[in-house]
Amino acid sequence: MKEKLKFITIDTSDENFTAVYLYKDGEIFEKTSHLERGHIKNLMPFISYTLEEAGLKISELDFISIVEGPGSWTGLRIGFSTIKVLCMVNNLKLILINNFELMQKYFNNPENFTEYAFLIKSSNKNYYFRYSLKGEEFVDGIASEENLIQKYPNIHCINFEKLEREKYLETSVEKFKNKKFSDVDNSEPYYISVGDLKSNFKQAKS
Amino acid sequence: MIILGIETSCDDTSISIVKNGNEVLSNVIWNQNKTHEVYGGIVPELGARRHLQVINLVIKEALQKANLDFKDLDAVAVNNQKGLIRSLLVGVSAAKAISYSLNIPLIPVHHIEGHVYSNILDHADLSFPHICLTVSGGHNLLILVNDHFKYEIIGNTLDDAAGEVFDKVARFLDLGFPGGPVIDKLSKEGDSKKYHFTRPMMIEDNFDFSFSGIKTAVTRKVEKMNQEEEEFKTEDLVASFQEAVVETLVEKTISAAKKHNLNQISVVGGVSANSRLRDLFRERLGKSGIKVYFPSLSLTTDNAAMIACLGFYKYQNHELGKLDLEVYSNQGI
Amino acid sequence: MRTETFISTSVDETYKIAGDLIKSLENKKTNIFINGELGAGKTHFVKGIFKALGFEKSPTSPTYDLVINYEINNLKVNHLDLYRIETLNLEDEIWINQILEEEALNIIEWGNKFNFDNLEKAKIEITIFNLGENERKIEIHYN
Repeated sequence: MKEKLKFITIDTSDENFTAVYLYKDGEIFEKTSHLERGHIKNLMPFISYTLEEAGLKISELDFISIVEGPGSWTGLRIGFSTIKVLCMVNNLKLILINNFELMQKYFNNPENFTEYAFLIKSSNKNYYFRYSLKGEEFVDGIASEENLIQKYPNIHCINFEKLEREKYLETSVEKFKNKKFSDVDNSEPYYISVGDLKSNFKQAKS
Repeated sequence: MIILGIETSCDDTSISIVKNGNEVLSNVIWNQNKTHEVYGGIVPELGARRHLQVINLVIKEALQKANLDFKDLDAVAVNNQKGLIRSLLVGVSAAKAISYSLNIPLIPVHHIEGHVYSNILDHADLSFPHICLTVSGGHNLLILVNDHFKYEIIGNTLDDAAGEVFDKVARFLDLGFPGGPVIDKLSKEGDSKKYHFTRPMMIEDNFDFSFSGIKTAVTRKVEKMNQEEEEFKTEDLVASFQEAVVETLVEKTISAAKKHNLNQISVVGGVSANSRLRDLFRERLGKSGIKVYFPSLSLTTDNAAMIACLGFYKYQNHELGKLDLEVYSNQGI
Repeated sequence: MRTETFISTSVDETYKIAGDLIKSLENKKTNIFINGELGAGKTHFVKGIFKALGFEKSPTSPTYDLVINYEINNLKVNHLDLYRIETLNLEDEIWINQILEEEALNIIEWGNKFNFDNLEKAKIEITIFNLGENERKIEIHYN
């Protein structure tokens, strides 16, 4: 892909993986790390580093894109609070990328499953899932793999794996060309607030 | 020098702009009570989400109220050392983004130290050395403040902070949250001498506090009165309870000031808003020559103005942070 | 599974019961839930635990911090307090469970407000009843 565009894409949806990709007219600069809970330490320095490497001022960017989730809400909040303020101060446009959308976009469905779900690990036993019927209708929620299969016995589960950076950058450019910008001040992570198979809140016993 | 202060440690998102460490150009506090109210207590995850939701809006409001633009800011100060970690992360990330974008210094500060500076911000005549009593729900310290950043902690709570027992007693009596203001108000209609609760730890030269026992004494008293079907007025009960807590705070603080030959006492934190505490200090100090300082009410609660003020002095002292600044939920002061 | 019951008639006795419990633990990296109504006497029991671990100062209340972390003689200790939480959001539950599964000694106050039965780590539940004056009944339930 070679576009005359300058932008940064960041991904903090995995608690232990910080990624900053800078695209400058076809050239890619990146800085990533696998530091456990390292977003607060690394995110801003990585942004500063890639801009310096590329010889760019932040105000020269056409936009910033960020993975909105689902994933680690804490990691995502560090990403969002950093990017929202950067966009606000520097008057930059903001684009959001969704992990499930990415999976859907690049999933060829080679075995032609009718019913499938993308799974992103949430905690020890739970997953954020996007259940898909014929690739059209979908339901997002949180459940254990066991419960998911119980509810949808014919389901085929696909575990999330990080895609190559080019796919994040491509998707960002696509959204830019389609003017899919988000309201900077009111953006937030893609919280999955109502689990299809598990309630989000437990009451204290009285 | 114009400093933007950021404070997102617990239930309030606060952004403030302070000039030269003493002139508050704006102090915006976005309180989260409504977010948590419906759940009966606090929901830390929702609190963190709320900070993120409002952060840009509160920053903009602070600038607007101060009639300034981003380019007018000379530095940004942020509390990164005490609070709920998921909430702190929002404020610190925002601070880094501002520091980087405007190429201005980033100044990390400690929340409790911020409270110490709330009086320094509010009272130009408060000088060094002085005794500072920091008292809120989450902390209860007696500090010998010799100079900027030259502290000696001479007293701490051994269990509950005063503000905490106000909250717990109020909740036990179904009076709502936060407990301080409602008990303060009710006590005005009550007889503070009706019940006597032992003032805890009134040992000479010991400046530590222990309020857990008073909490137990109050709950036991109520249970006993209920058992014996003794009628009582809540106003009298809370007034007596408040008197015991307040008298302990006042006596220990004055004692500490006298021991160290100091004639200035600074009282800060949420409980410093309590009217009986203020009255009793003034009553007991009388013509002793010791002056007591309280912050204006909006500076007693968690706020970013005290953070920006502290930031000013930290800057003078070359105590700056870098973009890889970390966050801590309870660092010592 | 077994339960031991003690009656304590003084703060010192409570400290001793807490101390004996700690000394009896082969593996200190366990979860100790301390339950009891407001004013029951949880604070003294917790202080007794910290004293037995060799902590010289007094552990301050984690009611507002939710969790305070310590390192005492190479042992990681977390002191949690769920008093302020009435509704457990899934994310908060995950976060608390993560702490409870750590290689650390966890002391949890007001933990009986929620269900933590599915933890893999060992669990001890202590319930304290205030019998009046200085008397306390302390039940120690080992899982």
